[in-house]
Amino acid sequence: MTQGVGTEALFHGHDDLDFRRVAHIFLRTWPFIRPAMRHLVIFILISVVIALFSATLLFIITALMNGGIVGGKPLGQLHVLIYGLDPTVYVDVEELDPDARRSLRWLVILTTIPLVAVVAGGGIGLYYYSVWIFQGINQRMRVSLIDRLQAQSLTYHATARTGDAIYRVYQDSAMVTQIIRAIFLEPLMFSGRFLFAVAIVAAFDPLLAVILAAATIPILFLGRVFSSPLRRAFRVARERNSRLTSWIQESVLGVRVVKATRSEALRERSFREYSLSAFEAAFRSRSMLIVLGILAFGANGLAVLVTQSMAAMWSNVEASTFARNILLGFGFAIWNLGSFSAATGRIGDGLGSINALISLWGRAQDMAVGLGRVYEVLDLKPEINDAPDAMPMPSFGDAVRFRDVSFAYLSGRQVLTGINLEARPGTVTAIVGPTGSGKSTMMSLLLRLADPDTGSIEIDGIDLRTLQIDSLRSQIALATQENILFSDTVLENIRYAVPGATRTAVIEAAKVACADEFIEGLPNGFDTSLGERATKLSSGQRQRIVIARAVIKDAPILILDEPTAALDAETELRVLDSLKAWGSGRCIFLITHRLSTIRRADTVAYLQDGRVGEIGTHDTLMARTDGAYRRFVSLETTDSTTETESTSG
Amino acid sequence: MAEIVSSERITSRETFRLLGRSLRFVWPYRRQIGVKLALTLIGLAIVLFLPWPLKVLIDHVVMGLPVGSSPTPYPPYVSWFVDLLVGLTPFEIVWVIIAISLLGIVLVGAFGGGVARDYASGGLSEGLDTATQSENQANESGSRVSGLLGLFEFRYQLRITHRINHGLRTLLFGRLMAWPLTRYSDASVGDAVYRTMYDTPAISRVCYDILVLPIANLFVIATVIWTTAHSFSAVPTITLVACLAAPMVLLSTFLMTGVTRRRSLASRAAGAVTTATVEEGMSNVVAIQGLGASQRQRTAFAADSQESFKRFRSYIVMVLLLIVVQSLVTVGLVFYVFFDICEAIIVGRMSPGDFTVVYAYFVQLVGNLSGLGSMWFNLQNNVAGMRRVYDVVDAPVDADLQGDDAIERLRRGIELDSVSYRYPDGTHAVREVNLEGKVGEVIAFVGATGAGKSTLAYLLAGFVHPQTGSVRFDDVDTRRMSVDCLRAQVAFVFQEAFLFDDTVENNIRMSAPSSSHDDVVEAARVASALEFIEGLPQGFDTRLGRMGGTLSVGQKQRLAIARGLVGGAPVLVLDEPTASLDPETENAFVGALETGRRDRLLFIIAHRLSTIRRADRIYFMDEGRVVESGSHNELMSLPNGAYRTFVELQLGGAT
Repeated sequence: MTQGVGTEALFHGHDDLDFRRVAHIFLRTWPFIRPAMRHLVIFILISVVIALFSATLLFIITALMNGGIVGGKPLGQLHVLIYGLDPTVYVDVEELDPDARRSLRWLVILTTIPLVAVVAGGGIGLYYYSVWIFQGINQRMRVSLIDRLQAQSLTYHATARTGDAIYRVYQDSAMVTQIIRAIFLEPLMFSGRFLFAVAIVAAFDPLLAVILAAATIPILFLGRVFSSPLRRAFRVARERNSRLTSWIQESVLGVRVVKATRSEALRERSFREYSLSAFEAAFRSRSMLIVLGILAFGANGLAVLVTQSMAAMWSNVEASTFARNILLGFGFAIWNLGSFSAATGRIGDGLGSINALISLWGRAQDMAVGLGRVYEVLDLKPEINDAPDAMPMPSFGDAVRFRDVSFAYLSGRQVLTGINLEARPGTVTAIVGPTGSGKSTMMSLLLRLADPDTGSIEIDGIDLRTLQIDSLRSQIALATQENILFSDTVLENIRYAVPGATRTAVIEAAKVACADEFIEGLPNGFDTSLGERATKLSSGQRQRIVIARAVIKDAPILILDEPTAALDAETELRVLDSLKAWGSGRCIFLITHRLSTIRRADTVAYLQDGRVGEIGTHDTLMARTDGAYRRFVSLETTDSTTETESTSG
Repeated sequence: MAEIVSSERITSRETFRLLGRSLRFVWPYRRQIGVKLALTLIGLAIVLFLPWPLKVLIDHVVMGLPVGSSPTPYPPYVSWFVDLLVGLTPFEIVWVIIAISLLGIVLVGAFGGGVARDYASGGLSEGLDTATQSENQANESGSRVSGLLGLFEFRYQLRITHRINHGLRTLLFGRLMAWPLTRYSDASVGDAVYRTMYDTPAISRVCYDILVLPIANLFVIATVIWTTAHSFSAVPTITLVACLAAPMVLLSTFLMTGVTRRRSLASRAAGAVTTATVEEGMSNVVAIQGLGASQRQRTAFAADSQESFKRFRSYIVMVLLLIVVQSLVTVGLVFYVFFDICEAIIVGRMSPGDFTVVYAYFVQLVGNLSGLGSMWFNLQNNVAGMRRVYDVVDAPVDADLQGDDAIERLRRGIELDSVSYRYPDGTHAVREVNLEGKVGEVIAFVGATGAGKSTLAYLLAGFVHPQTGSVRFDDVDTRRMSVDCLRAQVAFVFQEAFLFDDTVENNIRMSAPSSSHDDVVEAARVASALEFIEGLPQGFDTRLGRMGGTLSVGQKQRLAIARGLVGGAPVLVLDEPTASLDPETENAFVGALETGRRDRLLFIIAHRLSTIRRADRIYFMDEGRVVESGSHNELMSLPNGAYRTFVELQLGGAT
């Protein structure tokens, strides 16, 4: 379970997020929000203006409509002021006469038009504006995630699962767009509305306001009780979904093997299992969220019910309102249909806000979990970093040296031990050895895909760790045994690392790699699109494209990690001759098994169990009777045909 | 990076066809969906009852009118309740209403005229693009009420949704696994994830939209219209406007569907491209770091992601536009009716409480009408996803290209009779190949890179099917054999080893799940993998990371070979798996294959002479044709033979 343990621990490490951690996670979004702060402030200001404007208009309309027209009760001074009404007809009367009530209808319509225009128009505009702002924030976060993942060393990528990465970037970082709403905008808005409601209702009757405020106590209590189980449930749901995504991805990636081994049913069975468990987790978490909402509404509804009934009774006896002198202006000096509607409307709005706030809190638990998972990636320090005083790599001229280099991917599984090696420009160094002897790892260290545990690698006497990684890698070209192509055209694949390269340069590089012939035979030549994983090409063809990609980089150091393994002998010879002609003055490292290739090297380093067993030219090493290298070579040649054996000396 | 696959326009006819298919797919769940519908209707009936107690409160408590003196008649479904209140004092009426409201809170979490009303929605916060919103769709559930009924309805529907989606996901995954290998050259992994995870919920969503939503909406609309006609006949315009609202709301939505649909499609496609870019970047992280191309990868991702967001915004614009049109229609209607209602109240033909009921009912009416109107709109939105799902379901799978005959274990051998194969893009990979292999023989395919050796090997295992000619196992054409039977005969080891994130043992055992631990160990021994496996921390129980984790290519390759050996299949195809083995290991391995040789037909593609020489017969290929065949010695004795030239070149290089 070695590899597994790392990731699993990562997933289950923080089942219990406490409030501090949640707050911390929320705070962590700040760097991504900050660039959008100006827009957010504008957004809030416009929202507040619209909210106040519409609340005031609504109050005026309620008095007109419910109090005046429907209830026939007199209006307040405010209406006289705004609409220029005759106070003797509309205010200082016991009941409004029918004609006065009829005439008020136009005022309602007149006032509703700006209300609808502002609320609908402004609301829609604001929504689009917020989508735009939040997408920008989300984009920053996604890109930063990709950056971080790309910068992780191979040790991390050896254990992490690709599907998990996708899931994090997609589902989890999207939570950022909600987080600002959840922790900032909406609590602000909802608490504002609630307090506004309490203040207004207090003016009608302080007892109502007390009940309204008391309703928050059980709701806050519910929020507290539910938070932790909700977070746990959401975390499980997300992890299971992530596992399912990984499973699909891996299955499709390895579909050839799945078919060849007839394990479709097996893959499907596990898929079924994972899918069910993912749904089960979703069911649990979402049901819990619903229960929270329902309980909160129960407390809420009770308060509405009590206050509404009290207001109805007061209206029945036409009791006077508490702050009658203030409310007089609106026509709400005594309890009647108008004041009943206005007060219950506010109570409903206030408690509705609290309700929305609690359901938001429930959903915020999910966001906290989502963001927590994002930060698990973001918090990983890239193990390979530029030193603070890293310098650009000077142009290469003297030598590449490995000094006592030791390395292990996982402690206890030593891959390289005490490697010493020197390579100079204009030479080809072959690194030879049995499978698993650490040849490729040596080259990974040269590229600083990982750092040696002890010892150092130096270029022209400078330790790699003091160089800027980008400048180091720009001086090294690499062609690997796993020939990875991208779903793009041949042209783009070749100039992948050198996006500015001209077409001529690409064709030139293809020639060096002996790839030009078959490329020109493709349907669209260099512009042929390869599709994901370039399955249309044979391995040999892919290898040559990979070699061309290394060539075009025109770097002083070239690493060929068994790039010719899939080439037949004839093609390999041509490629090697061509490479050697091109590579004069460069320092070439060659990892290979083929004798034909090894023999062309200036130096052969024979690796065995992570140590340099023997080093020298092919001839010197062959001269050692009983040498490990000699034994290695003789194995390769003894089963060659007897008739050609004589020529092999 | 990858290009965005924009599908052509979906016609309305195609939409209906897709809907029909989706309905057939959920047909097995008809009973559950029926229950869901019943629950919804019960909830709605209660919701429609709720404004009436509020009217009672306003008329008889707030306004103090005596019960029974209302100018408008109560509908029959309310009058039984009002009859209970005759003769009660306002104070007593309040208590009755409190009691009934308490019941409402517990049962449906609602009372009053729309202000104090809750509904159950389990939706989680979603991101602002289609992929994350699909996550909520996969968990589609909800109720128009809350309380106990709402909770029950929510949980019930969530279960159905999960069952439907689970079935569909599994179906899709199974189809993906059964696709012929050639389909994969163009299909991308990111796309597969997207279709399975994010596109499938479209179907369950659509089914609720078709089966539950319209009936629920029509129920509300009908009740509202009937009630206004019955109780508010004093003001005929109320009913008239209620009837007029329908065509206006529906028409406004209909006009906008085409554009919306196209934008939704584009938005989803862009999302898939972004996923693919992430996936490619992560899978190839070594290459990208090694090439120093991290910056380039980042730029590509940022661009793809930006594009996906942009398309989503353009989709949002359409949705918002629709909302504007509908609210304008609604406001117009409300104004029109408002005038007449006020008049009726002033002259006493209606009571103030009626105003509350009419208002609540109009809110319900417009809500349900726009629900009905946007039904078409939502269908369009989901058609894109549905089509992407059915694309997968409809694509022929391996089994469609083959029969279902079974043969016993291969006894005699395999014969290829003038077999030709062309890739979908027209490239001829294999031409007119005749070949014979008997059990007990070792056959080698030799030739230059790109000569068609791998394709020929694929033909043996039925990964691809010949356009002309036939492949026969013991005289049975492979096209008549079932996929399972054919693959059971052939163990295939690929050029590039692929390992799953599982234990070493399970990786080896894949083709023969029932094999014992000893079988696995034996296969590992033959593949020269035993030694390094035993050096792993947990030996055979070591879990490999993503794609083999820290194993070297050679180690992975040996595990892949062990995997090919473990089932003891009569035919073993080794497609150059030894290329990354050092000669010592390869020799040991090829030597080890001698055991059990008599019961096995071995095809091997190799470049190493030492390996090729062991073959009983060599087929030398050039440009898809077999140009020479025979034993090594026979072919070497042909003067100027193609094989001989090839070998001499190889040895000349080697020495």
